[in-house]
Amino acid sequence: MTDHDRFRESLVLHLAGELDRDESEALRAHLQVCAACNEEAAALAPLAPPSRALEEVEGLERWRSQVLANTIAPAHRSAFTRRALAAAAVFLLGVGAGLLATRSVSSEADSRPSVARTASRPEAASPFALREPPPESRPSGFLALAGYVRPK
Amino acid sequence: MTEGAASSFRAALDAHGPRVLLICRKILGDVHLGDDAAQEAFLRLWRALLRDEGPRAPGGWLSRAAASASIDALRRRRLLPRSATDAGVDDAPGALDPPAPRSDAPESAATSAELAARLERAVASLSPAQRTTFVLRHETGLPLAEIASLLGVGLPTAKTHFARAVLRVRAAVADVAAPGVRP
Repeated sequence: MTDHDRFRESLVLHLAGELDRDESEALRAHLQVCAACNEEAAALAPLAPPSRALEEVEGLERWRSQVLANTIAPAHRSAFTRRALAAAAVFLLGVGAGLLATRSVSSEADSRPSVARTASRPEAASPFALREPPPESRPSGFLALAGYVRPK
Repeated sequence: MTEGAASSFRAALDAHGPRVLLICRKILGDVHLGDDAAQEAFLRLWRALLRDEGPRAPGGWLSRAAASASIDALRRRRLLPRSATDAGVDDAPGALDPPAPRSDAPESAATSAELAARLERAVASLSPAQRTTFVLRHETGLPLAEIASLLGVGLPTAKTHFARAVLRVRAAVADVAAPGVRP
């Protein structure tokens, strides 16, 4: 690499504002003695590629949709899922509470042999075990809910 | 919180998406790879916003994210060294030789579209390190010191990459760029 090549590179960096003081001094000294580099300096306009209008970026919309699908959309979906689960839980709790209320009313008059004791004995659990609990083994709301969503 | 993040994200995507997309495509020299890197830059922004660590000035932040995602992609494809220790100035033979001008393009027919196409080809023909430095300096205005740090090279190396890239691109378009500009 010749000195001339080195100074051509310095010229580029000078035009980009990237030359430090020592390099600038060396370039200035060289320009005072080198006609070729002087011509080069006159010709070397800062070369920036013409930037295309942003609307012209090919495939922009497709890419944008893809980015949104991978960022905001899943977050919105999961927010929706959370809301849906919360609504379902409220509904199920309501059902559980309703069942409890029904049982507490009916159990007062319930004189049939209790099958509810089977609820505390899993080996004998029946799908209806929680339907007819005696007052002393009445399940909590949570258990009622569990019994509702897991009817086996 | 997500709603605020979503609206900040959409605003940044609208304001900077096209620019980030172009930067990544130019650095990688490939539309699909560029699109992936640009998406990665925005995924990083999205994760930062969700952590409530969104940048105050998303423009500059995204320039760096685009640079970093593109450089990562070049490294994965082994087009850039992974560390500063094995990063030298890739001075390919003939790197400063201008590509031969196309014989079927008389100067009188040189239009701005022709110039743009020539520039695009010239930038694409640069080495990955030169191209990355050139595109980042021109398209983001990041100082070479910062580009050097993103690339994992020293400032003198980044300066050499940039200067050689400019001279090579200029040589490629000298005959159509402007009257009086010598190759």
